Amino acid sequence: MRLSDSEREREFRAAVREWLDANGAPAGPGAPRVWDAAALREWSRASWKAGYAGITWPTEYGGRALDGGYQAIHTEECALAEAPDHVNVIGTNMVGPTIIRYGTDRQRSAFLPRILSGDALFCQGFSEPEAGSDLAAVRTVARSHADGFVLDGEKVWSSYAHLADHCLLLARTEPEGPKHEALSCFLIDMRAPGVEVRPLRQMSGDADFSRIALTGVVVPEDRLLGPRGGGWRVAMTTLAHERGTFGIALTARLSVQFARLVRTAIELGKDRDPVVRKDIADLHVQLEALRHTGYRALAALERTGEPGPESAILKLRWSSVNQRVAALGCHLLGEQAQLGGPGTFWGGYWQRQRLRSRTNSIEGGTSEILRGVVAERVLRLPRSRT
Amino acid sequence: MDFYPTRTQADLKATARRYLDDRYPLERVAQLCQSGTPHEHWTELAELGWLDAELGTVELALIAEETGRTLAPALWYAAAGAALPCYRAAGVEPHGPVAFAGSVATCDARNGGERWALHGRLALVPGSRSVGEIVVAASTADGPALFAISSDGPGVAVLDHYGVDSIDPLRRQADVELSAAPARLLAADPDGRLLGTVTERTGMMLASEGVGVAERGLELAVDHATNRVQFGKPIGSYQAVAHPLAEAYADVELARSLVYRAACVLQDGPGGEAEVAAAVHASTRCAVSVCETAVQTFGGTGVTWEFPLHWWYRRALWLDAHLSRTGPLDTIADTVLG
Ligand SMILES: Cc1cc2nc3c(=O)[nH]c(=O)nc-3n(C[C@H](O)[C@H](O)[C@H](O)COP(=O)(O)OP(=O)(O)OC[C@H]3O[C@@H](n4cnc5c(N)ncnc54)[C@H](O)[C@@H]3O)c2cc1C
Repeated sequence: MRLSDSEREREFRAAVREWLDANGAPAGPGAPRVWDAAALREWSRASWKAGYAGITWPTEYGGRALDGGYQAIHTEECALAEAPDHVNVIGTNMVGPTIIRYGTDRQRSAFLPRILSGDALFCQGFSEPEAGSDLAAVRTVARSHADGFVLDGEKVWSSYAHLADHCLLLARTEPEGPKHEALSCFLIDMRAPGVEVRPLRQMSGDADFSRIALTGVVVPEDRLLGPRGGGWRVAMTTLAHERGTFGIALTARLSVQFARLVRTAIELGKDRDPVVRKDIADLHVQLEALRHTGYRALAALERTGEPGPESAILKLRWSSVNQRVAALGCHLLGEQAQLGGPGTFWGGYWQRQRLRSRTNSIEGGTSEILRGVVAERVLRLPRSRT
Repeated sequence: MDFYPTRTQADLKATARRYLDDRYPLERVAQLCQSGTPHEHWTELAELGWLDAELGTVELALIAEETGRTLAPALWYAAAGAALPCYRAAGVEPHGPVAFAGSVATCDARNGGERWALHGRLALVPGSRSVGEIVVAASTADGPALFAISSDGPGVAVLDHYGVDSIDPLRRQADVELSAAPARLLAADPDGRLLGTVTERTGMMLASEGVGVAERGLELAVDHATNRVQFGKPIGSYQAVAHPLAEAYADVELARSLVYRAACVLQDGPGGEAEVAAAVHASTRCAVSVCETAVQTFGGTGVTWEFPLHWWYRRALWLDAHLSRTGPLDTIADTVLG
C-alpha cells in the first residue's frame, strides 16, 4: 500500500501543474472566478490541444490510453488549481465512454474525436417529469419511421442542454414488454427540427439545466446507440461512468471549498472560536476520509477492473459534507447571511453556495436512492421494492 | 499511488481473520468477557509473526482491524505497537506479555549509580495485572527515557480502587503506584522521538481496531436484518432499517481509509500526528455509532446481557474514552487553523 506517486506519475503531475500555471486561471483571494460559456470553450480547447482531454481513451479516438491514475491526477490538479471542468464534461466523462463501449465504428469516428475537441458538446437526457429516480418509467416514445425513428416527449433537468450540440437520450421503443427491455438510447442532434430547449432556473439563481421538449423529432437509424431495446443497459453504463474518477474530482473540489471556508473563518476573525474550530476540524476529517476513500476506490479499479464497493458511498457522503461546508460558511457570516449581492462578503458567495448545494443530494441519484444501492448491492440486504 | 493492500498484505489479513475466527468465535469471546480472566496468547502471537520487528505499520493496521473485529483478548496492540520497539531499541526481547505506560508527566526516574528507580503514578494502564513487565516512559534529568519494570516487583503497587471497574472487561485497567521501583533502562529518548513514534503507532492501531469493531457490529446487524421477519418481510427490506445500515457502511469505509492513510504516513515516518488524530476521531465515532445502530437493529435482543453484541459496544465505548485523552479534534484544528 502506497500513497506517494510513482516516478512516472510524479512527472505527469508536474507537467500538469506547469501547464495549469501557464494556462489556468490564477485563483483569487475571494470567491472563485465565474467562467462564461465562451471562456469555458476556449479553456477546454486549449486543454484538449495540450493532450489533457481523453487521457484514458484509446489513441485511435484521440486519447492517450493512460490508466485511470493519470486521469485522477489531472482531475485533481485541475480542481486544486480552480480550473473549470471541460465544457463537455458530460461528453468526455459519460457519453464518450458509452460510445466506446456500445457505438458502431461510424459512431465512434463521428463523435469521439469531436467530443474531446469540444466540437460536439453533449448533454444527457434521461430524467423526465414522470421518471426521476424511477428512470425505467420514461415516457418519451421513439416510433419507427421511414428514416429511422420519430421521437415525442419531454426531458427535464438536463445540464448543459442550453449549450449542447447533441444529447444522449433514453426513450421507449417498445410499447409492450418488461420495462427494462423496452428502452433504447439515441444520440440526437439538438438542432434537429422539433427539439426545443427551455432553460430552468435553480433556487440559487443559476440557470445551467433545462427542459427539452421533443415534438416529432426525426432521428436517423444510425443514431441508435447500442441494440434496440438494450437502452437500459447502455444508460446504466453511462451512469456507472459518472463514478470512476468522478469521486476524485468531487473531493478535490471539496478540498478547495474547504480551504475557502478556512480563509473565511480567518478573515472574519472566527478562527479562535472553540466551536468553530471543532466544526472545521470535524469537516476536515470527513473531507480527508472521502479523499482517501476515492484513492482506495481508484486503486481497486486499477487492480481488479471493477470499482470497489466503497466507491458507492463517495457521492452520498460528498454531498452531505459539501452541504455542511456551505452551511458553516453561512453561519460564520452571522447576521450578514441575511443579505446577498456584490456588496456583501465575497459577493454573497456562501449564501449562493448554501442554496446551490441542496442540489448535491438530488443530482446524479438522490441520497435515498444511493442508500438503497448500498443496502441492496453492497450489504446484500433484501430488496425494498418489488 | 497504489492505495490498496498488496497481495501479501491481503494474505496476511485473510490469515489473521481465519486464525481469529477459529480461535475466538462469538461464544468464546462472551465467555472470556464474563469470566474476566486475562488471556494473553503470547506464544501464538509470536508463532503468527505478529510480534516480528519487520512488521510495517500497514501490516500492524491490517492485523489490528482483525483483532478488533473478533475482540481478541491479548494486549497485542500495546506490545507490538509500543513496548516491543522500546525493547528493540535496547537490542533485547521481553519474555512474555508486556504492557505500556506513556506517563512522562507523572513518573520520574532516578539513577542511584548503577541502578535506576522509578517514582510516581501510572494512570489507567491496560493489562497492568496480566503482564510480566510494563514499559514505562519516565522523565530523567536528561529528558524522557523508556524503562522496563516488573509488574510484581518491589516498589510496584497495582491499585485496586473500590467500586472501579473497566467498561470493557478485556481491557482491565488499573493505576500503578511506583516507589523506588527498580527499572531497566531500555532507551534514552531526550527529544521524545521514540515515545512520539510508539504513541502514534498505538493510536493508529487502536483506530484500526475501532474499524474492526464497527465492521463486526455491522456484519451482525446485516445478518439479523436479512433473517428476522416482521410484518411478513425481512426487516432489512424496510428502508428505515436498511438506510442506517448503509450509512454505517459508509462510516466504516471512510474511517478505514483514514486508518490506512495514517499507517502509510507512519511507515514513511516521522510525523503523522494529524493523520493519526483524524483516524482516531473517525474510527472512535464510527465504532460507537455503528454499534448503536446494530443494537437498534436487533431490537430487544440487542439490549440483553446474553446477546454478545454489547461486548463490541463496550469496546467501542472504551476506545472512545481511552483515546479522548489525546484530544484528536484539537490536534486537527491546530493543524488546519494554527
Ligand atoms: C442540478 C441537477 C442536474 C441534473 N442534471 C441532469 C442531467 O443532466 N440529465 C438528467 O437526465 N437528469 C439530470 N438531473 C435529474 C436527476 O437525476 C433527478 O432529479 C433525480 O434522479 C431525482 O429525480 P426526481 O427529481 O424526479 O425526484 P423523485 O424521483 O421524484 O424523488 C423525490 C423524492 O423521493 C425520494 N424517492 C424516490 N423514490 C424513492 C424510493 N424508491 N425510496 C425512497 N425514496 C425515494 C427521492 O430520494 C426524493 O427525495 C439533474 C438534477 C439536478 C438537481
